[in-house]
Amino acid sequence: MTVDVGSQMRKGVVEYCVLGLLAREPMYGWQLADTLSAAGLIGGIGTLYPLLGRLRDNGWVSTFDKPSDSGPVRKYYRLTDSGDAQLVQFRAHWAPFARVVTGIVGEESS
Amino acid sequence: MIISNADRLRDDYLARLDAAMRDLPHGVAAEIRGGILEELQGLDAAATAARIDHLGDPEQIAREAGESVQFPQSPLAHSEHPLPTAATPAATPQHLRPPATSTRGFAITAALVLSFGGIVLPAIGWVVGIVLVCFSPLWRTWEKFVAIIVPFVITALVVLSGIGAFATMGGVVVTESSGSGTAEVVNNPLMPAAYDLVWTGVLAVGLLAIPASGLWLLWRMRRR
Repeated sequence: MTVDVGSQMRKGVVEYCVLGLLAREPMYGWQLADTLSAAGLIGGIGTLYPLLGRLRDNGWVSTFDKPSDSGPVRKYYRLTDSGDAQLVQFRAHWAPFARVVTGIVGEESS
Repeated sequence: MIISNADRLRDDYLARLDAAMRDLPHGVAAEIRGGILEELQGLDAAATAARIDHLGDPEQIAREAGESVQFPQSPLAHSEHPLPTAATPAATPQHLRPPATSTRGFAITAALVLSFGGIVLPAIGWVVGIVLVCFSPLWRTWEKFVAIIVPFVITALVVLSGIGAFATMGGVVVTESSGSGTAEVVNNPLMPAAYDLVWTGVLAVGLLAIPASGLWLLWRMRRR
């Protein structure tokens, strides 16, 4: 039996990828879904909103409304101070973690 | 009233989406619907059709959301430790049902027992509520801690502030008039005694703070 390794790794990091995107600029749902789907991090919009809800419940993101150029008001998500601190903590762990794992499992030989 | 093709396409898609999401928590379904509605507003019929095509089957959206709600993508969302891990099980079979203690029904029951169990069965009902709340995974540890501890803190504050007020206002200095040479302090009969203040504190907790803590837990789980 082969396990979908990519799927398991995505589950561990996707929420921090959302925090990373929001650290650059506030984004609305569709924008986040497009970016994360294109990167292969989420399956679709159905996965995104429960994830955003958890981030908001944790106090890591907040929302605000902003009218779009085409008319409708969009709900934007932005990073909170707590989310920013969480992202900083994740960054501090991520590089050493990736290095340790690469050191153990090795790299694909070309 | 003229309904445009774009409106018809959008309304039809949203109706299918609503039907597909009927079993999702209300908060999640409302977030998804709101996000999709934002994207479908202000478009002409061709753009609406293209966007709907991009969104995909409402059943699939609801299925993904349901899996994400029951089995969150990242175990880190509920953890204080952001170290990435791959320990989460991969695709969980649809037929696997979560344990009864992880359902919203169980959590709602637990919060209500915590709120009002102590009124029905003094003390025992509240303890049962605490046990049920501790079993539910729908709250984080700090939320459970706050719901259980805060009523005690409020009691202590009520009792201490009452006793403090009593100590400063409750006594009346009677000046010496009997020739004994000493002044004595007697209690003002119009002021409550210390035990009145303790009982007031206990009642404040039993009737206000504990029910409020359970209702707060219900509010915290509204999107879970």
